[in-house]
Amino acid sequence: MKPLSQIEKAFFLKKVKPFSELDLDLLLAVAEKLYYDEYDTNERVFAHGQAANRMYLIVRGSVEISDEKMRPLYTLGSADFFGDESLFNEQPRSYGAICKADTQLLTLSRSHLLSVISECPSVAVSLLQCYAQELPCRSKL
Amino acid sequence: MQRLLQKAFGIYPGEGLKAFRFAKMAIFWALGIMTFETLSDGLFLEKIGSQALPTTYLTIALLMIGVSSLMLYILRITSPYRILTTVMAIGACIGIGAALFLFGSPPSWFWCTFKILSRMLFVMLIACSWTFIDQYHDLQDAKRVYSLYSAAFFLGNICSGTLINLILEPLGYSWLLLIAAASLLLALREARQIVLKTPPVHDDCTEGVLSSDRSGLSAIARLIRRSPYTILLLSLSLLIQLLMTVSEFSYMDSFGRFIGEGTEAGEGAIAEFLGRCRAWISGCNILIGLFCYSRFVRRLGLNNAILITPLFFVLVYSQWVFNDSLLIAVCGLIAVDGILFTVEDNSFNLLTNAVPTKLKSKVRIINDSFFEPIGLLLSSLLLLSIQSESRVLGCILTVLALTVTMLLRSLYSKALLINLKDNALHFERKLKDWFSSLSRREERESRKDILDALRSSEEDLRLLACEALLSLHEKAVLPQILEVSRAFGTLNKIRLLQLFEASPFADQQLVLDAIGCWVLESESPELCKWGRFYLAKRGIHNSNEEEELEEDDLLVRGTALLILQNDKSHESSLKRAIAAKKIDLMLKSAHIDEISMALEILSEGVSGGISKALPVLSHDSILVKRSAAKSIAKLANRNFAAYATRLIEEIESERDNVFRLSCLNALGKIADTSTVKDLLAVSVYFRPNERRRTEEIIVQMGLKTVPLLLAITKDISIPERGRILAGKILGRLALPQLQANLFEVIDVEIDRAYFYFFFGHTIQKQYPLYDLKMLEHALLAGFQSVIDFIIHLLAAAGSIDEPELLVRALHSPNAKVQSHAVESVEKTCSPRLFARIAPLIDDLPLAERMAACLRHKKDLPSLSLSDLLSQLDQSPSLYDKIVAARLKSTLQMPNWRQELREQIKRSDETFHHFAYELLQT
Repeated sequence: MKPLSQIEKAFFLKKVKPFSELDLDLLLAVAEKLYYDEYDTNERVFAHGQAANRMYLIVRGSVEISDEKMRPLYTLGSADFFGDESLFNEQPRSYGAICKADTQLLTLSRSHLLSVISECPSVAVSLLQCYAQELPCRSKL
Repeated sequence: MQRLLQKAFGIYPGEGLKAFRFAKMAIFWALGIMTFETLSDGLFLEKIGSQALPTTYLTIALLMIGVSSLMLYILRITSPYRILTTVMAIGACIGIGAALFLFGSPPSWFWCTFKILSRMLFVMLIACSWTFIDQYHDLQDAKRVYSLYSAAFFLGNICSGTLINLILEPLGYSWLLLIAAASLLLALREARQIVLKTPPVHDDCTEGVLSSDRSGLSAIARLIRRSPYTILLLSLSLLIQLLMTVSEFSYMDSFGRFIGEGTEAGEGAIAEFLGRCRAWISGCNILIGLFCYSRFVRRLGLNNAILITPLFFVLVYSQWVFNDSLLIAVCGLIAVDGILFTVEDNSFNLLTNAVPTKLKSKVRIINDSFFEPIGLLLSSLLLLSIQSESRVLGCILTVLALTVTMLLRSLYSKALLINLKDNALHFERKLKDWFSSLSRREERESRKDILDALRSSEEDLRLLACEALLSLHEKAVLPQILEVSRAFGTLNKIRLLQLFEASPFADQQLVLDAIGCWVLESESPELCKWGRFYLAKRGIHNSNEEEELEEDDLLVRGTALLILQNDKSHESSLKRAIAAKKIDLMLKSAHIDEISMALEILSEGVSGGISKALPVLSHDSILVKRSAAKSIAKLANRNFAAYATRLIEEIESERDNVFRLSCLNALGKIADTSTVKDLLAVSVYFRPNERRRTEEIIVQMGLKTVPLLLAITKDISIPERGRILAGKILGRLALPQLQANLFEVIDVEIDRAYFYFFFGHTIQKQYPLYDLKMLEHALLAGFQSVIDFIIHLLAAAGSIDEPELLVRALHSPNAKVQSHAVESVEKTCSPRLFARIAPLIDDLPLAERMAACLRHKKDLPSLSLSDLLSQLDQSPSLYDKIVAARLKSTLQMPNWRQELREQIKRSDETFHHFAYELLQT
């Protein structure tokens, strides 16, 4: 698989929800800091409990998210993202991630994500919207 | 005693255990590997002779190139820790194997093999151990403690030399080798303890500090090619390797002649002499490493420390080339085993910090196990051809090394800053700027990527590609964009219209024709309306406008109004009057869409448009406010200076980013220099892109703003963020003026920073019965704010393009990035200033920083809580004033009400609200 150029990364970011509101110039700035990586089928991206420094964006392929006993929880596909929660709560990874197909990932470091958020609060709002949809915590009370 | 040791070794409190672990590991592996090295050297000279050395170097070089390629590959899939421990384990096995051989009578190939293997192990262990150590230290740590680890390595050397001198005769080679192997196994155990017990330095460039980096060899080569600094560093290393091998050959040759042939010494005489010399040299190395090197680097800077090695070699070779004696040969040995290992190796470790971040972990490995073998290969080839002139060759290499060092020295601070820039996100950069920073090939590839996206099956992607092409401002791409847009749906065609509108091609005939076709041919009434509106703005129409003035549809009505406004016929004044009346009515409408449409029509140059749009700036709806601001921004020019104050008031009262940017654009066009102070005052609450815009606006106003900017930069009654912006602009407009006033401004700020820092950390302890958390917080926030100001000003005065980078890096949670920022500040400002601010910005333990506070100002502890609060009353920070007033009231300090009433007289409205609330309680 050919690594993504910066333009391709910027265009891809437009499809990823937290970044979809950013204009092209901002997307390019973020794209410059995205690190491209390829994984084979069944290759582990990270394990439960591992130290966390980066969030992952799936360009192509699929990634299975599993709990600490390796039980599958979700399967994520293109334009999905994962690994971001640990960057905010500064805890080790609370789940594992394994590629279920040959997968292309882009990763963004914690410090860069925080810089993006300080410049573009819409990214934080989009992330909050995602968390609010995924975590119906109030209904558990 | 503990404090004395910490001071002597340059260790901070709490750091001792960590340093001890690394030092222990270094001692063990140095003891093991140096025993192999010395025994193999001595045995080789005795059994084979120095004439076979060039061939051996050649073999080592060829093998090392293979091994290093393998190591670089393995580094992609595993951690430096695993590589290090594997090499240690292999070393121990080789030691045991060699010992078993030496129990018998080994064949002649054994001496060569043993020499080759021990040298390869030595090189690999050095490379792996520094890469491993580097994961646990940032640059500032490295400057202090790496020399300690080097000293530990030399202590291992001394132990090795002493062991050889004490045990070789009674026990023989085999037992010595077994002890060395055991020492390597102990080093392996220490490495494991380090991984288990020492947290690595936070560096979020990779997932987990010990994880692999998966970039390929071609990517590494590309990165090296792009960094002139890395190329120079590796070139210097190559030269040093050549110099090392040539010098080693020269002194071995001399030793062979002066000791091996000239005396009646028995077997092992050269090994014993070498062992003794190396033990002494190591002793000196320890002293230099512990007490001299790090202090030298801290006082005179790394860029001066790197000159020591080439200058020492110049000194030795200037004698050696004319006169060969045992004494000069020993000097050669000192140059190789002393200077190269204490000064050069430490300097190299520190210099690698300026290498691009992505390359940093690999440079050590690339250098030690790839470039050094190449150096060895080249030197062995050179020695094979001109063996008798080795000292002349050494002299030439020395001069070359000095030249490269000078070049490297000049690039060092620039390389550090490039690293920071690479790590920073450049939000201010537009697509066009980014394109202009690319090489021709990269630009061609990026353009191809955009054109590929233009042919994509996804319509949204095609629209994005159109946006990118329009941002490049190239007329040649218009036909392609228009061709692709034919297949767009209504929504994306409307989006494209908006993109055209914002582009410089809005009025291009090609674009207007294409939109005309859409209007005529499209089945979508919505697109037709948008298309007609677009064309009407440019005076193109074919409709009966008067009938459409009463249409319910806003776009149709808007189009009709635009046509009336632009009418040039004999009835035009009447039509314009009708249009103006309609627009006025729309501006008073209850529907925000109608108001926004009216504002958009006004922005097309309607007379008196700006005065009509101005009152709408304070509308309740943010959408309307945005439209009004956009309209004003479009119409504003230098004649509207009277509106500048109102615009600044609106900017202050509304926090919306789009609104503020539009208002700032309007102010930029008005360019009234009398607004500079007010603009800087409101910039305190700005977001980064708003601050950047303000900076550009004031820079465009030109040199006449300089006296005012200087006054604002000096004025401590203005909040720091406003002063920072003033200082930055001053740096861009009149750098000599800023530099001339720098010390005066910074000295005051350093005093303030020490004041905030000291009391932020001591006041609660001084008054344990009071809850002073809020005060502590205010003081530490004040400290941070003053430090930011200092750094910004230093960066601006140091001609650094992006001072924001340094501040962001200093606040970075990434310790390595933070330490780079400190290094960049050091390289930017004068040593006197840096010595004063270093304890404030460096990541030192609290005790060290407090000691620095007391050194700086000994009268600090004499301030009572009441004095402190009185000082905060005078602070320019509103937060400081509020906290002081609040605490005085909470603690019921004498006369607090009266003092607060006095303070109200000197304060602004925001403080009044708070003060009256307090007085009422």
